[in-house]
Amino acid sequence: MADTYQEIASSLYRGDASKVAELVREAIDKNLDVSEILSDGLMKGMDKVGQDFKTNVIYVPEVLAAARAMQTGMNLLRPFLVKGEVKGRGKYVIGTVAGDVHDIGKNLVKMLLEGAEFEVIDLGVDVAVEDFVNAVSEHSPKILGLSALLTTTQKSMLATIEGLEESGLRQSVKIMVGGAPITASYAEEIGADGFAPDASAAVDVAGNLVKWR
Amino acid sequence: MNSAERIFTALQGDIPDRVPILEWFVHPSVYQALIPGITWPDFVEQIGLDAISSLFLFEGAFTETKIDEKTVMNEWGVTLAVTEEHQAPIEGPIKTLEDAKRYIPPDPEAPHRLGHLPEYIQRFKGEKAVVWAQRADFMWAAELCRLDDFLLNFVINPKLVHEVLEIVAEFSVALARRAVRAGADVVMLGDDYAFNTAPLMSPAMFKEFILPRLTRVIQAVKDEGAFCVKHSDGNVWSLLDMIVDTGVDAINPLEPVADMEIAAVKKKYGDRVCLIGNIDCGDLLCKASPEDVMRTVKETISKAAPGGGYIVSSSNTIHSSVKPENYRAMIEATHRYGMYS
Repeated sequence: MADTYQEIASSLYRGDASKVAELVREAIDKNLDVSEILSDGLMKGMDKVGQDFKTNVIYVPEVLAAARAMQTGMNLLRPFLVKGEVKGRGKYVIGTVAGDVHDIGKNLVKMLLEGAEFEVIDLGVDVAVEDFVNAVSEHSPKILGLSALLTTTQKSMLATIEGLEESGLRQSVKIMVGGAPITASYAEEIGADGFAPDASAAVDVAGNLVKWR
Repeated sequence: MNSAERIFTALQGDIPDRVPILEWFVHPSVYQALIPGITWPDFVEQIGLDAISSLFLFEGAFTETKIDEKTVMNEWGVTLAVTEEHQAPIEGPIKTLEDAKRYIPPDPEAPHRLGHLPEYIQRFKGEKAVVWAQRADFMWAAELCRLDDFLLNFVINPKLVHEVLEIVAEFSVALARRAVRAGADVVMLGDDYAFNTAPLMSPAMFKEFILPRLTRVIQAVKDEGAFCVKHSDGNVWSLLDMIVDTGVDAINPLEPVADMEIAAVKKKYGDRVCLIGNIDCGDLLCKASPEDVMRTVKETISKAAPGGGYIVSSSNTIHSSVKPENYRAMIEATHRYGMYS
Protein backbone atom coordinates (compact mmCIF):
# COMPACT_ATOMS: atom_id res chain seq x y z
CA MET A 1 0.00 0.00 0.00
CA ALA A 2 2.76 2.38 1.04
CA ASP A 3 4.62 1.28 -2.08
CA THR A 4 1.66 2.14 -4.27
CA TYR A 5 1.42 5.60 -2.76
CA GLN A 6 5.17 6.07 -3.15
CA GLU A 7 4.95 5.03 -6.80
CA ILE A 8 2.09 7.45 -7.41
CA ALA A 9 4.06 10.25 -5.76
CA SER A 10 7.21 9.58 -7.76
CA SER A 11 5.35 9.18 -11.07
CA LEU A 12 3.64 12.48 -10.38
CA TYR A 13 6.98 14.11 -9.56
CA ARG A 14 8.39 12.85 -12.88
CA GLY A 15 5.39 14.30 -14.73
CA ASP A 16 4.24 10.90 -15.98
CA ALA A 17 0.49 11.49 -16.21
CA SER A 18 -0.38 8.17 -17.81
CA LYS A 19 1.51 6.24 -15.13
CA VAL A 20 -0.25 8.22 -12.42
CA ALA A 21 -3.59 7.42 -14.05
CA GLU A 22 -2.73 3.71 -14.24
CA LEU A 23 -1.63 3.56 -10.61
CA VAL A 24 -4.57 5.58 -9.29
CA ARG A 25 -7.02 3.34 -11.19
CA GLU A 26 -5.33 0.26 -9.72
CA ALA A 27 -5.49 1.74 -6.24
CA ILE A 28 -9.19 2.52 -6.62
CA ASP A 29 -9.86 -1.00 -7.95
CA LYS A 30 -8.07 -2.42 -4.91
CA ASN A 31 -10.49 -0.39 -2.72
CA LEU A 32 -7.73 1.60 -1.14
CA ASP A 33 -8.87 4.58 0.92
CA VAL A 34 -9.50 7.37 -1.57
CA SER A 35 -8.51 10.20 0.73
CA GLU A 36 -5.25 8.34 1.42
CA ILE A 37 -4.55 7.93 -2.30
CA LEU A 38 -5.02 11.69 -2.48
CA SER A 39 -2.93 12.69 0.52
CA ASP A 40 -0.22 10.01 0.57
CA GLY A 41 0.08 9.64 -3.20
CA LEU A 42 -0.82 12.80 -5.08
CA MET A 43 -0.32 15.46 -2.43
CA LYS A 44 2.90 13.85 -1.22
CA GLY A 45 4.24 14.03 -4.76
CA MET A 46 3.21 17.68 -5.17
CA ASP A 47 4.74 18.50 -1.81
CA LYS A 48 8.13 17.32 -3.08
CA VAL A 49 7.52 19.26 -6.30
CA GLY A 50 6.96 22.41 -4.29
CA GLN A 51 10.06 21.85 -2.14
CA ASP A 52 12.33 21.10 -5.09
CA PHE A 53 10.98 24.04 -7.08
CA LYS A 54 11.77 26.28 -4.14
CA THR A 55 15.38 25.12 -4.05
CA ASN A 56 15.87 25.16 -7.83
CA VAL A 57 16.21 21.41 -8.16
CA ILE A 58 13.38 21.56 -10.68
CA TYR A 59 11.96 24.44 -12.70
CA VAL A 60 8.73 25.54 -14.38
CA PRO A 61 8.52 22.79 -17.06
CA GLU A 62 8.82 20.05 -14.43
CA VAL A 63 6.26 21.76 -12.19
CA LEU A 64 3.80 22.06 -15.08
CA ALA A 65 4.27 18.39 -16.01
CA ALA A 66 3.78 17.31 -12.40
CA ALA A 67 0.68 19.50 -12.02
CA ARG A 68 -0.74 17.92 -15.16
CA ALA A 69 -0.08 14.48 -13.73
CA MET A 70 -1.75 15.54 -10.49
CA GLN A 71 -4.84 16.77 -12.34
CA THR A 72 -5.05 13.44 -14.15
CA GLY A 73 -5.01 11.64 -10.81
CA MET A 74 -7.46 14.10 -9.23
CA ASN A 75 -9.94 13.69 -12.07
CA LEU A 76 -10.03 9.94 -11.42
CA LEU A 77 -10.47 10.41 -7.67
CA ARG A 78 -13.03 13.17 -7.82
CA PRO A 79 -16.16 11.00 -8.26
CA PHE A 80 -15.14 9.03 -5.18
CA LEU A 81 -14.31 11.93 -2.93
CA VAL A 82 -17.17 12.69 -0.58
CA LYS A 83 -17.71 16.37 0.02
CA GLY A 84 -16.38 17.27 3.43
CA GLU A 85 -14.37 14.06 3.68
CA VAL A 86 -11.34 15.85 2.39
CA LYS A 87 -10.75 18.73 4.74
CA GLY A 88 -8.32 20.80 2.76
CA ARG A 89 -6.82 24.04 3.97
CA GLY A 90 -9.51 26.33 2.71
CA LYS A 91 -10.54 28.40 -0.28
CA TYR A 92 -8.09 30.67 -2.04
CA VAL A 93 -9.27 33.15 -4.66
CA ILE A 94 -6.56 34.22 -7.08
CA GLY A 95 -6.31 36.54 -10.06
CA THR A 96 -4.14 38.93 -12.02
CA VAL A 97 -5.20 42.51 -11.37
CA ALA A 98 -7.05 44.88 -13.67
CA GLY A 99 -5.08 45.99 -16.73
CA ASP A 100 -2.64 43.09 -16.52
CA VAL A 101 -2.83 39.96 -18.66
CA HIS A 102 0.24 38.09 -17.44
CA ASP A 103 -0.55 34.75 -15.89
CA ILE A 104 2.30 32.26 -15.67
CA GLY A 105 3.25 33.31 -12.13
CA LYS A 106 -0.36 33.16 -11.02
CA ASN A 107 -0.78 29.77 -12.68
CA LEU A 108 2.26 28.37 -10.88
CA VAL A 109 1.01 29.66 -7.54
CA LYS A 110 -2.35 28.08 -8.25
CA MET A 111 -0.81 24.67 -9.05
CA LEU A 112 1.37 24.66 -5.98
CA LEU A 113 -1.51 25.78 -3.74
CA GLU A 114 -3.71 22.99 -5.09
CA GLY A 115 -0.85 20.65 -4.38
CA ALA A 116 -0.84 22.00 -0.85
CA GLU A 117 -4.55 21.22 -0.45
CA PHE A 118 -6.02 24.64 -0.97
CA GLU A 119 -9.16 24.88 -3.06
CA VAL A 120 -8.23 27.51 -5.61
CA ILE A 121 -10.75 29.67 -7.43
CA ASP A 122 -8.94 31.26 -10.36
CA LEU A 123 -10.55 34.44 -11.67
CA GLY A 124 -8.10 34.67 -14.54
CA VAL A 125 -6.43 37.85 -15.73
CA ASP A 126 -7.34 41.53 -16.04
CA VAL A 127 -9.75 41.07 -13.16
CA ALA A 128 -11.76 44.18 -12.32
CA VAL A 129 -11.99 45.33 -8.72
CA GLU A 130 -15.70 44.53 -8.57
CA ASP A 131 -15.07 40.99 -9.79
CA PHE A 132 -12.58 40.41 -6.98
CA VAL A 133 -15.08 41.88 -4.52
CA ASN A 134 -17.89 39.69 -5.84
CA ALA A 135 -15.71 36.59 -5.68
CA VAL A 136 -14.74 37.27 -2.05
CA SER A 137 -18.38 37.84 -1.22
CA GLU A 138 -19.52 34.67 -3.01
CA HIS A 139 -16.79 32.24 -1.94
CA SER A 140 -15.73 33.60 1.46
CA PRO A 141 -12.16 32.47 0.87
CA LYS A 142 -9.56 32.40 3.58
CA ILE A 143 -7.09 34.14 1.31
CA LEU A 144 -7.21 36.40 -1.73
CA GLY A 145 -4.07 36.37 -3.88
CA LEU A 146 -3.31 39.23 -6.27
CA SER A 147 -0.73 39.09 -9.05
CA ALA A 148 0.73 41.89 -11.18
CA LEU A 149 3.71 41.86 -13.50
CA LEU A 150 3.85 45.48 -14.56
CA THR A 151 4.88 48.50 -12.52
CA THR A 152 2.02 50.24 -14.28
CA THR A 153 -0.62 47.75 -13.10
CA GLN A 154 0.45 47.22 -9.50
CA LYS A 155 -1.72 50.20 -8.53
CA SER A 156 -4.71 47.94 -9.27
CA MET A 157 -3.69 45.98 -6.17
CA LEU A 158 -4.33 49.00 -3.97
CA ALA A 159 -7.58 49.68 -5.82
CA THR A 160 -8.69 46.10 -5.16
CA ILE A 161 -7.90 46.34 -1.45
CA GLU A 162 -9.76 49.64 -1.27
CA GLY A 163 -12.70 48.08 -3.08
CA LEU A 164 -12.87 45.36 -0.45
CA GLU A 165 -12.71 47.95 2.32
CA GLU A 166 -15.55 49.91 0.78
CA SER A 167 -17.66 46.76 0.58
CA GLY A 168 -16.95 45.93 4.21
CA LEU A 169 -15.19 42.71 3.20
CA ARG A 170 -11.57 43.58 3.93
CA GLN A 171 -11.55 42.06 7.39
CA SER A 172 -13.12 38.83 6.18
CA VAL A 173 -10.12 37.73 4.14
CA LYS A 174 -6.32 37.67 4.22
CA ILE A 175 -4.72 39.28 1.18
CA MET A 176 -1.37 38.35 -0.28
CA VAL A 177 0.39 39.87 -3.27
CA GLY A 178 3.13 38.95 -5.70
CA GLY A 179 4.65 39.60 -9.11
CA ALA A 180 7.84 40.96 -10.62
CA PRO A 181 7.58 44.62 -9.49
CA ILE A 182 6.06 43.77 -6.10
CA THR A 183 8.21 44.19 -3.01
CA ALA A 184 7.65 43.50 0.66
CA SER A 185 7.58 47.23 1.35
CA TYR A 186 4.97 47.80 -1.34
CA ALA A 187 2.84 45.03 0.14
CA GLU A 188 3.08 46.71 3.52
CA GLU A 189 2.35 50.12 2.05
CA ILE A 190 -0.94 48.95 0.53
CA GLY A 191 -2.02 47.04 3.62
CA ALA A 192 -1.63 43.50 2.28
CA ASP A 193 -1.30 40.71 4.83
CA GLY A 194 1.38 38.82 2.97
CA PHE A 195 3.91 38.99 0.17
CA ALA A 196 5.86 36.32 -1.68
CA PRO A 197 8.83 36.88 -4.02
CA ASP A 198 8.02 33.74 -6.02
CA ALA A 199 5.52 30.92 -6.39
CA SER A 200 7.19 28.55 -3.95
CA ALA A 201 7.31 31.15 -1.22
CA ALA A 202 3.63 31.85 -1.87
CA VAL A 203 2.66 28.42 -0.58
CA ASP A 204 4.57 28.97 2.67
CA VAL A 205 3.07 32.43 3.13
CA ALA A 206 -0.42 31.08 2.48
CA GLY A 207 0.12 28.31 4.99
CA ASN A 208 1.11 30.83 7.65
CA LEU A 209 -1.83 33.10 6.93
CA VAL A 210 -4.26 30.22 7.28
CA LYS A 211 -2.69 29.06 10.54
CA TRP A 212 -3.19 32.43 12.16
CA ARG A 213 -6.71 32.94 10.94
CA MET B 1 34.54 61.13 -29.38
CA ASN B 2 30.93 61.23 -30.53
CA SER B 3 28.02 59.20 -29.22
CA ALA B 4 28.45 56.32 -31.64
CA GLU B 5 32.18 56.00 -30.88
CA ARG B 6 31.41 56.19 -27.17
CA ILE B 7 28.96 53.28 -27.35
CA PHE B 8 31.22 51.16 -29.58
CA THR B 9 34.20 51.75 -27.27
CA ALA B 10 32.19 50.63 -24.24
CA LEU B 11 30.83 47.59 -26.10
CA GLN B 12 34.38 46.60 -26.93
CA GLY B 13 35.19 46.75 -23.23
CA ASP B 14 37.44 49.76 -23.60
CA ILE B 15 37.38 53.14 -21.88
CA PRO B 16 35.49 55.93 -23.69
CA ASP B 17 35.56 59.63 -22.74
CA ARG B 18 32.36 59.23 -20.71
CA VAL B 19 30.08 56.39 -19.67
CA PRO B 20 27.48 56.23 -22.44
CA ILE B 21 23.72 56.10 -21.90
CA LEU B 22 21.05 54.37 -23.93
CA GLU B 23 17.51 53.11 -23.54
CA TRP B 24 15.68 50.49 -25.62
CA PHE B 25 12.35 52.21 -25.13
CA VAL B 26 11.13 55.41 -23.51
CA HIS B 27 7.37 55.84 -23.22
CA PRO B 28 6.13 58.94 -25.10
CA SER B 29 4.39 60.19 -21.95
CA VAL B 30 7.80 60.46 -20.27
CA TYR B 31 9.81 62.12 -23.00
CA GLN B 32 6.99 64.44 -23.99
CA ALA B 33 6.59 65.53 -20.38
CA LEU B 34 10.23 66.61 -20.53
CA ILE B 35 10.01 68.27 -23.95
CA PRO B 36 6.37 68.71 -24.99
CA GLY B 37 5.42 67.64 -28.49
CA ILE B 38 8.83 66.16 -29.27
CA THR B 39 9.40 63.00 -31.31
CA TRP B 40 11.58 60.12 -30.13
CA PRO B 41 14.48 60.82 -32.54
CA ASP B 42 14.46 64.54 -31.72
CA PHE B 43 14.37 63.69 -28.01
CA VAL B 44 17.40 61.40 -28.35
CA GLU B 45 19.27 64.24 -30.03
CA GLN B 46 18.24 67.04 -27.68
CA ILE B 47 18.55 65.25 -24.34
CA GLY B 48 21.89 63.65 -25.18
CA LEU B 49 21.31 59.90 -25.35
CA ASP B 50 24.15 58.10 -27.11
CA ALA B 51 22.03 55.66 -29.09
CA ILE B 52 18.84 55.72 -31.10
CA SER B 53 16.95 52.51 -30.61
CA SER B 54 14.21 50.80 -32.47
CA LEU B 55 12.44 48.15 -30.37
CA PHE B 56 10.37 45.87 -32.58
CA LEU B 57 7.49 45.72 -30.08
CA PHE B 58 6.69 49.37 -30.61
CA GLU B 59 7.68 49.75 -34.22
CA GLY B 60 4.70 48.14 -35.92
CA ALA B 61 7.06 45.39 -37.03
CA PHE B 62 4.17 42.93 -37.10
CA THR B 63 0.77 44.11 -38.21
CA GLU B 64 -2.20 43.31 -36.04
CA THR B 65 -5.78 42.54 -36.94
CA LYS B 66 -8.48 43.48 -34.50
CA ILE B 67 -10.66 40.59 -33.39
CA ASP B 68 -12.75 42.49 -30.87
CA GLU B 69 -12.42 45.30 -28.31
CA LYS B 70 -10.04 43.31 -26.17
CA THR B 71 -8.18 41.07 -28.63
CA VAL B 72 -5.96 41.30 -31.67
CA MET B 73 -4.12 38.77 -33.78
CA ASN B 74 -0.62 39.41 -35.12
CA GLU B 75 1.22 38.13 -38.19
CA TRP B 76 2.52 35.11 -36.30
CA GLY B 77 -1.10 34.02 -35.80
CA VAL B 78 -0.77 34.73 -32.09
CA THR B 79 -3.80 36.13 -30.28
CA LEU B 80 -3.07 38.96 -27.88
CA ALA B 81 -5.24 40.40 -25.14
CA VAL B 82 -5.21 44.16 -25.10
CA THR B 83 -5.64 46.33 -22.04
CA GLU B 84 -4.92 49.99 -21.57
CA GLU B 85 -1.56 49.15 -20.08
CA HIS B 86 -0.23 46.48 -22.39
CA GLN B 87 -0.75 43.64 -24.77
CA ALA B 88 0.07 40.06 -23.94
CA PRO B 89 -0.25 36.82 -25.89
CA ILE B 90 -3.01 34.49 -24.75
CA GLU B 91 -3.23 31.90 -27.52
CA GLY B 92 -1.00 30.51 -30.23
CA PRO B 93 -1.50 28.63 -33.51
CA ILE B 94 0.82 25.69 -32.76
CA LYS B 95 -0.45 22.88 -30.54
CA THR B 96 1.02 19.74 -32.15
CA LEU B 97 4.07 18.67 -34.10
CA GLU B 98 1.86 18.54 -37.20
CA ASP B 99 0.85 22.19 -36.65
CA ALA B 100 4.54 23.06 -36.38
CA LYS B 101 5.49 21.24 -39.55
CA ARG B 102 2.74 23.06 -41.48
CA TYR B 103 3.41 26.46 -39.93
CA ILE B 104 4.67 29.34 -42.05
CA PRO B 105 6.27 32.19 -40.08
CA PRO B 106 6.04 35.86 -41.06
CA ASP B 107 8.30 37.00 -43.87
CA PRO B 108 11.45 38.61 -42.43
CA GLU B 109 11.82 40.60 -45.65
CA ALA B 110 8.41 42.31 -45.46
CA PRO B 111 8.77 46.09 -45.99
CA HIS B 112 7.39 47.12 -42.59
CA ARG B 113 9.38 44.56 -40.63
CA LEU B 114 12.12 47.01 -39.55
CA GLY B 115 9.74 49.75 -38.46
CA HIS B 116 11.50 53.12 -38.20
CA LEU B 117 15.00 51.63 -38.31
CA PRO B 118 15.77 52.79 -41.87
CA GLU B 119 14.77 56.33 -40.97
CA TYR B 120 16.99 56.31 -37.87
CA ILE B 121 19.90 54.95 -39.88
CA GLN B 122 19.45 57.70 -42.42
CA ARG B 123 19.48 60.40 -39.78
CA PHE B 124 21.91 59.15 -37.14
CA LYS B 125 24.34 56.66 -38.67
CA GLY B 126 27.87 57.55 -37.62
CA GLU B 127 26.64 60.06 -35.00
CA LYS B 128 24.64 57.95 -32.59
CA ALA B 129 24.80 54.17 -32.26
CA VAL B 130 21.84 52.75 -34.15
CA VAL B 131 20.30 49.92 -32.18
CA TRP B 132 17.81 47.35 -33.45
CA ALA B 133 16.02 45.30 -30.80
CA GLN B 134 14.36 42.01 -31.69
CA ARG B 135 14.18 38.52 -30.25
CA ALA B 136 16.24 35.38 -30.78
CA ASP B 137 14.36 32.12 -30.22
CA PHE B 138 12.56 31.71 -26.91
CA MET B 139 9.67 34.15 -26.61
CA TRP B 140 8.39 34.13 -30.18
CA ALA B 141 8.39 30.33 -29.96
CA ALA B 142 6.65 30.41 -26.59
CA GLU B 143 3.99 32.74 -27.98
CA LEU B 144 3.34 30.43 -30.91
CA CYS B 145 2.53 27.63 -28.48
CA ARG B 146 1.25 29.61 -25.47
CA LEU B 147 3.91 29.96 -22.80
CA ASP B 148 2.51 27.45 -20.31
CA ASP B 149 2.05 24.74 -22.96
CA PHE B 150 5.47 25.50 -24.47
CA LEU B 151 7.20 25.01 -21.15
CA LEU B 152 5.15 21.89 -20.44
CA ASN B 153 6.27 20.51 -23.78
CA PHE B 154 9.90 20.78 -22.71
CA VAL B 155 9.06 17.71 -20.61
CA ILE B 156 6.26 15.91 -22.46
CA ASN B 157 6.91 16.79 -26.12
CA PRO B 158 10.49 17.98 -26.67
CA LYS B 159 10.33 17.28 -30.41
CA LEU B 160 7.66 19.95 -30.78
CA VAL B 161 9.79 22.42 -28.83
CA HIS B 162 12.80 21.80 -31.06
CA GLU B 163 10.70 22.15 -34.20
CA VAL B 164 9.22 25.49 -33.16
CA LEU B 165 12.56 26.86 -31.95
CA GLU B 166 14.10 26.02 -35.32
CA ILE B 167 11.36 27.87 -37.20
CA VAL B 168 11.80 30.94 -35.02
CA ALA B 169 15.60 30.85 -35.07
CA GLU B 170 15.60 30.83 -38.86
CA PHE B 171 13.30 33.86 -38.87
CA SER B 172 15.39 35.68 -36.26
CA VAL B 173 18.67 35.07 -38.09
CA ALA B 174 17.19 36.42 -41.33
CA LEU B 175 15.71 39.48 -39.61
CA ALA B 176 18.89 40.27 -37.70
CA ARG B 177 21.05 39.99 -40.85
CA ARG B 178 18.62 42.26 -42.65
CA ALA B 179 18.72 44.87 -39.89
CA VAL B 180 22.51 44.95 -39.82
CA ARG B 181 22.81 45.11 -43.61
CA ALA B 182 20.36 48.02 -43.50
CA GLY B 183 22.80 49.78 -41.18
CA ALA B 184 22.09 48.81 -37.55
CA ASP B 185 25.26 49.00 -35.45
CA VAL B 186 23.93 47.00 -32.51
CA VAL B 187 21.36 44.22 -32.31
CA MET B 188 19.77 43.62 -28.94
CA LEU B 189 18.19 40.19 -28.52
CA GLY B 190 15.25 40.16 -26.11
CA ASP B 191 13.68 36.93 -24.75
CA ASP B 192 13.23 36.93 -21.01
CA TYR B 193 14.43 33.68 -19.45
CA ALA B 194 13.85 34.29 -15.77
CA PHE B 195 11.72 35.35 -12.82
CA ASN B 196 13.18 37.52 -10.05
CA THR B 197 14.52 34.49 -8.25
CA ALA B 198 15.45 31.95 -10.91
CA PRO B 199 15.19 31.10 -14.62
CA LEU B 200 11.97 29.61 -15.95
CA MET B 201 13.83 26.52 -17.11
CA SER B 202 16.80 24.59 -15.75
CA PRO B 203 20.28 25.42 -17.01
CA ALA B 204 20.33 21.94 -18.56
CA MET B 205 17.14 22.63 -20.53
CA PHE B 206 18.41 26.08 -21.47
CA LYS B 207 21.52 24.43 -22.87
CA GLU B 208 19.56 21.79 -24.77
CA PHE B 209 16.78 23.91 -26.22
CA ILE B 210 17.59 27.60 -26.21
CA LEU B 211 21.36 28.01 -26.29
CA PRO B 212 22.09 26.44 -29.71
CA ARG B 213 19.64 28.75 -31.46
CA LEU B 214 20.60 31.80 -29.42
CA THR B 215 24.21 31.15 -30.39
CA ARG B 216 23.27 30.99 -34.08
CA VAL B 217 21.51 34.34 -33.96
CA ILE B 218 24.39 35.97 -32.06
CA GLN B 219 26.90 34.56 -34.53
CA ALA B 220 24.84 35.84 -37.46
CA VAL B 221 24.85 39.35 -35.96
CA LYS B 222 28.60 39.22 -35.34
CA ASP B 223 29.17 37.76 -38.78
CA GLU B 224 27.40 40.76 -40.32
CA GLY B 225 29.76 43.05 -38.41
CA ALA B 226 27.46 44.40 -35.70
CA PHE B 227 27.62 44.32 -31.92
CA CYS B 228 25.24 41.99 -30.12
CA VAL B 229 23.58 42.47 -26.73
CA LYS B 230 21.69 39.77 -24.83
CA HIS B 231 18.79 41.11 -22.79
CA SER B 232 16.95 39.00 -20.28
CA ASP B 233 14.89 40.09 -17.33
CA GLY B 234 15.22 38.30 -14.05
CA ASN B 235 17.80 36.32 -12.16
CA VAL B 236 19.96 34.80 -14.88
CA TRP B 237 23.02 34.01 -12.76
CA SER B 238 22.83 30.29 -13.51
CA LEU B 239 22.70 30.95 -17.26
CA LEU B 240 25.33 33.66 -17.56
CA ASP B 241 28.34 31.41 -18.09
CA MET B 242 26.61 29.94 -21.13
CA ILE B 243 25.39 33.31 -22.37
CA VAL B 244 28.79 34.98 -22.03
CA ASP B 245 30.49 31.99 -23.69
CA THR B 246 28.50 32.66 -26.88
CA GLY B 247 30.77 35.64 -27.53
CA VAL B 248 28.00 38.20 -27.07
CA ASP B 249 29.31 41.74 -26.58
CA ALA B 250 27.07 42.88 -23.74
CA ILE B 251 24.48 41.71 -21.22
CA ASN B 252 21.42 43.63 -20.04
CA PRO B 253 19.36 44.78 -18.08
CA LEU B 254 20.78 43.39 -14.84
CA GLU B 255 17.72 44.01 -12.67
CA PRO B 256 18.56 44.89 -9.06
CA VAL B 257 15.26 43.36 -7.89
CA ALA B 258 16.40 40.06 -9.40
CA ASP B 259 19.68 40.02 -7.47
CA MET B 260 21.75 40.99 -10.50
CA GLU B 261 24.03 43.04 -8.29
CA ILE B 262 26.26 45.02 -10.58
CA ALA B 263 29.53 44.80 -8.67
CA ALA B 264 29.19 41.03 -8.54
CA VAL B 265 28.39 40.79 -12.27
CA LYS B 266 31.29 43.12 -13.06
CA LYS B 267 33.68 41.05 -10.98
CA LYS B 268 32.72 37.80 -12.66
CA TYR B 269 32.13 38.86 -16.26
CA GLY B 270 33.37 42.44 -16.61
CA ASP B 271 36.52 41.44 -18.46
CA ARG B 272 34.50 39.58 -21.10
CA VAL B 273 31.30 41.55 -21.68
CA CYS B 274 30.04 45.10 -21.46
CA LEU B 275 27.34 45.62 -18.82
CA ILE B 276 24.25 47.64 -19.72
CA GLY B 277 21.51 48.65 -17.27
CA ASN B 278 20.92 48.17 -13.55
CA ILE B 279 19.16 51.53 -12.83
CA ASP B 280 15.95 50.36 -11.15
CA CYS B 281 12.85 51.37 -13.12
CA GLY B 282 10.60 50.29 -10.26
CA ASP B 283 10.72 52.08 -6.93
CA LEU B 284 13.77 54.21 -7.79
CA LEU B 285 12.66 55.78 -11.05
CA CYS B 286 8.94 55.77 -10.19
CA LYS B 287 8.88 56.94 -6.60
CA ALA B 288 12.23 58.22 -5.36
CA SER B 289 13.47 61.78 -5.65
CA PRO B 290 15.69 63.04 -8.47
CA GLU B 291 18.47 63.40 -5.88
CA ASP B 292 18.14 59.71 -4.99
CA VAL B 293 18.28 58.84 -8.68
CA MET B 294 21.42 60.91 -9.20
CA ARG B 295 23.07 59.33 -6.17
CA THR B 296 22.20 55.82 -7.38
CA VAL B 297 23.50 56.48 -10.88
CA LYS B 298 26.71 57.86 -9.40
CA GLU B 299 27.12 54.77 -7.18
CA THR B 300 26.35 52.39 -10.03
CA ILE B 301 28.88 54.10 -12.27
CA SER B 302 31.50 53.83 -9.54
CA LYS B 303 30.92 50.08 -9.32
CA ALA B 304 30.44 49.23 -12.98
CA ALA B 305 32.40 51.73 -15.04
CA PRO B 306 36.03 51.33 -13.92
CA GLY B 307 38.05 49.93 -16.78
CA GLY B 308 35.30 50.72 -19.26
CA GLY B 309 32.61 48.33 -20.44
CA TYR B 310 29.53 49.89 -18.81
CA ILE B 311 26.57 51.70 -20.36
CA VAL B 312 23.93 53.38 -18.21
CA SER B 313 20.39 52.16 -18.84
CA SER B 314 17.28 51.29 -16.86
CA SER B 315 16.58 47.82 -15.46
CA ASN B 316 13.97 47.33 -18.16
CA THR B 317 12.49 50.33 -20.01
CA ILE B 318 11.50 53.90 -19.18
CA HIS B 319 7.82 52.96 -18.97
CA SER B 320 4.85 55.21 -18.34
CA SER B 321 5.10 55.09 -14.54
CA VAL B 322 8.61 56.53 -14.46
CA LYS B 323 8.66 60.09 -13.17
CA PRO B 324 9.93 62.28 -16.04
CA GLU B 325 12.09 64.35 -13.68
CA ASN B 326 13.74 61.14 -12.53
CA TYR B 327 14.60 60.15 -16.06
CA ARG B 328 16.07 63.59 -16.64
CA ALA B 329 18.08 63.16 -13.42
CA MET B 330 19.34 59.79 -14.67
CA ILE B 331 20.62 61.37 -17.89
CA GLU B 332 22.13 64.37 -16.09
CA ALA B 333 23.87 62.15 -13.56
CA THR B 334 25.44 60.14 -16.37
CA HIS B 335 26.80 63.29 -17.98
CA ARG B 336 27.96 64.69 -14.62
CA TYR B 337 29.46 61.59 -12.98
CA GLY B 338 30.33 59.51 -16.00
CA MET B 339 33.51 61.23 -17.18
CA TYR B 340 36.59 59.05 -17.24
CA SER B 341 39.40 61.32 -16.06
